Amino acid sequence: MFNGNYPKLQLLNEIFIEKYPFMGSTINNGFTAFGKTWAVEVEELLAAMFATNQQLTKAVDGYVRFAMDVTRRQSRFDDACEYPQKSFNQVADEVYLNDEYMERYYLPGLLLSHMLWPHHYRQSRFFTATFLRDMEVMGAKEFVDAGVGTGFLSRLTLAACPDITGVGFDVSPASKKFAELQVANYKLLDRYQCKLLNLCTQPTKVETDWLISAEVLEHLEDPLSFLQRLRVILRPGGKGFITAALNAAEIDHIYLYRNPIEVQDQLIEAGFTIEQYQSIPAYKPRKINIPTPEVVAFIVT
Amino acid sequence: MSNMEKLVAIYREVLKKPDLELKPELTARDVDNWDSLAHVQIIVEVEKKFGVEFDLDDFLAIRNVGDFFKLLQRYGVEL
Ligand SMILES: C[S@@+](CC[C@H](N)C(=O)[O-])C[C@H]1O[C@@H](n2cnc3c(N)ncnc32)[C@H](O)[C@@H]1O
Repeated sequence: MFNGNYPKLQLLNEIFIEKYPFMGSTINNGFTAFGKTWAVEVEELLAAMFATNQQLTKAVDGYVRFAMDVTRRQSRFDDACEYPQKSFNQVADEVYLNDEYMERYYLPGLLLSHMLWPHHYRQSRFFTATFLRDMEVMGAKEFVDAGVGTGFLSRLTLAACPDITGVGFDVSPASKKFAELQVANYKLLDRYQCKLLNLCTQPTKVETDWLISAEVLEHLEDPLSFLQRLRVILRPGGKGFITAALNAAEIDHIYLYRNPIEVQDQLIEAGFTIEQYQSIPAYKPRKINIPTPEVVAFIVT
Repeated sequence: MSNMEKLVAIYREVLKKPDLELKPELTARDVDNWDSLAHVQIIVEVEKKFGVEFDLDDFLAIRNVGDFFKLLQRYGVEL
């Protein structure tokens, strides 16, 4: 599988097998499903973000804890079919403003999930094949990423479009720092800035022709008003890539979307027109009466 | 049913191995469908059956079934 070509990926595989045998097939599954392109992307990401063995081991520990937490919450959701009641401020204190939690678990976990969770990886391929390709073809000059998280999509965008500049927003100081680090490690920081802002409550005058907002809606108490604000940020004639997680019980998910139609209806109510969408389940449905977590991505104008 | 019998039943049910022997040295490497989902399902089932709630860090430290026995005892479950 490795042939000496992917030393970081090989180490990642060894850590899983040795330390977390119940995740021992993760890398093999990725290779089988997505092949060499995937392996090259993971290798690059690991080399850029976790250069030393110690950093990689720590990131894997964070990822495993993050993934186990998600799986345990999902298992409880299977019975309740509701997210536990939480306010945005509660989540912000517990997660976004909790640097230790963000740096140890959430951000490394989320970043690795972009490569290691098949539905997350498929969604980033959808982003690359559609939205990012349009940006390249149309010679996009600037973009806004609303809710940068790890900065994964900002970084992909900056890397694909050599003349573009970008602005990211996030309410979490740890996300801002991590996104900037990722962009800097790929030597792209001269074209990017990340700003601390609560996009639901604090005003911004920013406008763009290219808007990204991935996996933020389900983190909010009132995603419709957030979408109405995004509609103002996106200039008429501009294009947006907006995604949401459905039936996915995570520590910071507040608003439960049960199907893609609920997201679609809010997008339309906020004034967007839908060009295309893709919905991807996290795994094969296990039982007909248990909702399967999904990610859904919309390209809107 | 003793606690040990209940535990064996959970492992067999989740891993879909009706004849599984629960030896302390058994790990996920030894059972083909013991993936992360099954791992968490075992833990969640045990939490429900025995009325305990594990700290995430505790259950990440479990390397084999023997570690899980010790953890359960630490949470007051007699085996
Ligand atoms: C799941 S992450 C986003 C994932 C990210 N787009 C990526 O692709 O890695 C959610 C992010 O939204 C941010 N967020 C949540 N509510 C927000 C708000 N009201 N304003 C700004 N950022 C917010 C959180 O701090 C977190 O970093």
